[in-house]
Amino acid sequence: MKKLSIPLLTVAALTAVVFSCKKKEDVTPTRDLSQGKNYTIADLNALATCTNACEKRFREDAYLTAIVAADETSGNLYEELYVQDATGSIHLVLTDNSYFLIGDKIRINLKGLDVGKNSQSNMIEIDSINYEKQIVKTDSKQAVTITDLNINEITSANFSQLVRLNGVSFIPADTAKLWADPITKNSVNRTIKDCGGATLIVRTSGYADFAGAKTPKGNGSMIGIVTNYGSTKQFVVRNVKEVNLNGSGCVVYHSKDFNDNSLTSGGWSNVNVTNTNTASFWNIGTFTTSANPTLYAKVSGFIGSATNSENWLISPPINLSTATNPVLLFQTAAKFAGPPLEVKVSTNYTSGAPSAATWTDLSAALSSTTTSYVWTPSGTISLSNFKSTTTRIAFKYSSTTASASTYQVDDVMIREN
Amino acid sequence: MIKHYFLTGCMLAGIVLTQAQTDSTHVTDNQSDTTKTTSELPLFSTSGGEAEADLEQQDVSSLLQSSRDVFAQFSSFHFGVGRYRMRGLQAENQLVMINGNNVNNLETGFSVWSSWGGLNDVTRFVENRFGLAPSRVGFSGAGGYTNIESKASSFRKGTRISYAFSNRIFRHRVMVTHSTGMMQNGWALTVSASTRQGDNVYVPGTYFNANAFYVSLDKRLNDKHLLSLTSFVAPIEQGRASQEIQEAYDLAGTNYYNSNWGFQNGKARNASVSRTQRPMAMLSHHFNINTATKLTTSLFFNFGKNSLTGLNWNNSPNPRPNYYRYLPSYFYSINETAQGDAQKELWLNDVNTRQINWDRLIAMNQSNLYSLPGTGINTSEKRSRYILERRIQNLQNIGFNTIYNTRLDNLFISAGLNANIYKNNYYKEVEDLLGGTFWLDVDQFAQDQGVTANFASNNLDDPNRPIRKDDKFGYDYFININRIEGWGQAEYTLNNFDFYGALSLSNSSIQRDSKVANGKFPETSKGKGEKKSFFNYGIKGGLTYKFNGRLFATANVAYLTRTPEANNIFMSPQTRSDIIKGVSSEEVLSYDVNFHVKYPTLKVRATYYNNMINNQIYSRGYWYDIANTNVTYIMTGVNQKFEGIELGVEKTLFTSHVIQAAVGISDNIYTSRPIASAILYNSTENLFDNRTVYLKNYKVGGSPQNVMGIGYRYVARKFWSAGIAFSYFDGIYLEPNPDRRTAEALEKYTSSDPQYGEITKQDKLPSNFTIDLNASKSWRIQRNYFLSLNAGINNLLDNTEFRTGGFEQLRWDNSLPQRFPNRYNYAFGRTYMLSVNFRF
Repeated sequence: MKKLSIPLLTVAALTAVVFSCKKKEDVTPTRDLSQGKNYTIADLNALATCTNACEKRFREDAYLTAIVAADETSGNLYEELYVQDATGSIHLVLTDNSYFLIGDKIRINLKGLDVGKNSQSNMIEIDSINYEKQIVKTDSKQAVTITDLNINEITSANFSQLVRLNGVSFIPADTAKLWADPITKNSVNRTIKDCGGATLIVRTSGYADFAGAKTPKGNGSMIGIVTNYGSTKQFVVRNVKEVNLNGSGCVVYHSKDFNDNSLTSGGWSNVNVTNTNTASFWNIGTFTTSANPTLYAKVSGFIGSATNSENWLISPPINLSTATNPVLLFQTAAKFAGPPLEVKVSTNYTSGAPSAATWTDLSAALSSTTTSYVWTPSGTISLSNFKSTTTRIAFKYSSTTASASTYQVDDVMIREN
Repeated sequence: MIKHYFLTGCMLAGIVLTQAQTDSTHVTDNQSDTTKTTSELPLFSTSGGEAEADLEQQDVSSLLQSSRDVFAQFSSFHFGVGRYRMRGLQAENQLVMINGNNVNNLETGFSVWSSWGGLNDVTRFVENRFGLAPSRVGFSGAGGYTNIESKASSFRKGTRISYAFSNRIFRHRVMVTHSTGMMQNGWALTVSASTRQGDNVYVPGTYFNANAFYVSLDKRLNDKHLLSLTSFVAPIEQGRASQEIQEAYDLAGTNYYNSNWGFQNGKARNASVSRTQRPMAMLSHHFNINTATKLTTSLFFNFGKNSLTGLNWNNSPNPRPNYYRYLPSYFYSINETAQGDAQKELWLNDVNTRQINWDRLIAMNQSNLYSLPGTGINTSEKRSRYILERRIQNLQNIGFNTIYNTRLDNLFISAGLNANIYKNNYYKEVEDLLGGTFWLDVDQFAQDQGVTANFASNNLDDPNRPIRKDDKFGYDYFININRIEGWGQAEYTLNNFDFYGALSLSNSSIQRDSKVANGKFPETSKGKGEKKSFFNYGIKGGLTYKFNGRLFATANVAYLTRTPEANNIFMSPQTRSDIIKGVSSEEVLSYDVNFHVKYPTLKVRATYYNNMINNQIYSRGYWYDIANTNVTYIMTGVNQKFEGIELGVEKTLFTSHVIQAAVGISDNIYTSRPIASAILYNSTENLFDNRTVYLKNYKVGGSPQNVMGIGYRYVARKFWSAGIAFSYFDGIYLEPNPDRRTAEALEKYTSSDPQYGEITKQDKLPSNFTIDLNASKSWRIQRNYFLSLNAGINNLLDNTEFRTGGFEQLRWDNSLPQRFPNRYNYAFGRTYMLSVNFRF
């Protein structure tokens, strides 16, 4: 058997030699991403809108990484995607139907593509993307941001953005009607309005899987993409299951639009703390403009010259004890530098001097005093922490001898969000 | 005493015979039959080479059952279930001969096993050596050689009858053989006949119908001269199984789901039927010039048809149930969840979704009233939208062979000359019009691209001819190969050393000759194309060192060139004669080192080997998704290496206990980066050229790289034996799709993308083991009658999860790689064979 050991050892050694260097599988060379520049959506928007003879076509490898916010699953979108990243949202137009899903993280090679503003829709988009050659899906089920907005807050900065509108319902003429025309496959515009009365067109394609369903009757929220056509803003639903209009209507706890030419109707009161000159009191403004063609409340501490004044416009007590998510909305327009208008809320004010009660400041978007009476929506101000049977809000105006602004207030509404 | 050994020998022979499963294993369906969308005109194409190679190829294991080498023997009995190929080498590396006549197919190099399937009784005298070795009947290479001695005078007088019952390929087998032995008058006659039958034996929808007839007549003229005529035919008709993606197996609820069959009028019908009937006849003259010298000369004839049926369709939905758009996964991938769920329900519950719906195909044909082109309105004719066609290879092969052997003291000289004229006619015929009355022979894709009206026609001489049942259509060409070889070998024996050297020179010329002109290539399709010649040579040598009578070592080396596979040298053999530029012979360099131990109770062989096969050509036709067209994908410069070790041990304890062990560890890899081009079937411009395929170090698929087996047998004194064997299979890789490893196809990805790994990583299948049992007993009855019973069970534990192989689909989607997943095939679960042999 000794003679056996030599050959066996040799074979064992050869085995070790043969198999000790386990070679690695060949590596097929691929793209080196570091060779291309990365763009954010904000970069692309800037490129698209720049007028300074800037190049809108990508001639080299360039990458955009974004998350799909709206896909083609419902059929409401066709050969397009809306995507978002941390800096914004943008519209992608494809040459073919894609299979990407909401939440997919995609990388687009922009080489050979243009970014620009579509002349019909006035929306910024990247056109003619051959997704099979230019888009790679690198992940899925990523978090997608939905922004809550009011209709009257929507601006061109929100185009292509995924937005949730709250407190909206279809106008009576468009309630219980088909979303679109599934027979002729034509798209149809339907109008929604919010509790503030602002309206928006909801456009649905005849190819959407819900085209043949009826628009719901009720008030609630809907999620979709803000789009545009010409000068008209529009809204495109991405999935009919995200349309939850089953509430009983705008639940308005209190509203005042001053159109009855009365400051105090409904229980409002003007309480002046300093300055007895009635000229400095809150009153009804009648100088209407196309921006605000209705009457409004106004106040100014400028009587010939700036004076010291503090004037409160206080609402009647509002019962919010049964409210779920009450919000305050109003509009302001201002001019002239001065102390800013303050918005406050109290649950224990009864009458007399405001200082006798506890007031909490509310933060609201106010009109700028450097421009001239630009009507500005306040945004929704939550009153969820102030649900009582006697909740009051107040607008506190102040001026000093150094400066006095003029403030106008209108369309005050306290409603369910 | 002699009787004892004799009976043991008979018994062992009995075991060998019953386990000689020479039938083809469950064959694979080629996958290049792909189509486009249902709304667009589909193309039915198959890479004929694959299908026909399947018809003819047999795993090497069956050839080696008569081998006395422990590793080869264990491998042939037990490693076949895992589709193990010895050393990973394809069958073209082994020289297979019958009576000294080379029966390797001249086009593919593979040996045509099915031509003598069922003739176990008369093909059992085999001289066989695996690996580099001196051969006295021809020049053999890395796979060694097998020479089946089959002539009437070699068989002893007697009759054998056997019956076998199995659940593997056939259910019943009957074989009857009678030999007269060499009679006083100098004549010897042997006749043998067998039949193997079975329906749905293991895989549903398959059937096996095989017969075989053999006649051999010898006449001994005198001491020096013997004339022998051996002829046989083994017609086989087989309904085949398919290879599927895992999703299909899961939906069908079985790993043996077969997509090739369906119900027609309540009866099961298989669309993929292979038929082979290729008789062989050999007339040889054996001349004993003197006691040391022999000259054998033969004339060899092999002719007949192989055919394979398949569905073809025109302007109609794909009839195959496993078309990717008929699977739920397709709908899920395009976000149609509801439709995906509905399709899944259909797959689970409706047999006409899972299988071919023949009745519907027939109904669609019967309602397609269509007037013949140019005949005006004639509503009695129906143009078939679906047909069953058969793709035929009709072969004529005539060979001449002479072998000279002589011994001069310590020198043994062998030399030979052989020549073949080989003509293989490829054409298609309509097997069944499926309810229609005619088929129009036009090329679907060309119809969209035609410049001239006849661009789409497959036969310019008669473009609008309606094709009826059994008519020829589609293509009609010959591959003609003329080959001549001269070889010589010298073996020198000394006390401690033996050495040998061998040389072979050969020339093959290949030419395509088409009988029809194709509209796409009116100039180059009809008539004889360029004749391409390959001059090849081979040198082989080795030496044996004998340490003593029991232990010796051998070393061998060989370098040879050989003609590439004939069909692979053409760009698109079905439509034109053009040959790939720069095509040249394959090169094979092999060497091995062996240690042998031979004691009466201990046999060991340990081997290290290395075979490098370079300059191969790969050619496949299929639907190329990335460019939306049908192409022939060709790779040149394919180099492979097969390196490894083998160990075989057989130890006999106390006479009756035999323990065997076999270990094979190998590293079979691609060693080059081939260059790929895609040839458009309808244009002289290529889709692309010169793409580098990054295939280096990818494993060669199709066989487990590592095998380990251990077996025990008890051989009793009273003529019975029983044994058990345990086999382990490891390193099973799928053959890679080359297009997936090119920079151009992966252009949009970077290496960190999840798809990159999915696309480029080679699929490795899990390791598995099986257990086999066998037992046999024989009796001698009244001096002259012998009866034996044999039983064998393979895969005792019924492992039905053993994936033995498969392939990466050539058609693939580079955006959604999971759209065309890999196809797999599974080893059969528990199978058995029981046989009874009676001899007198």
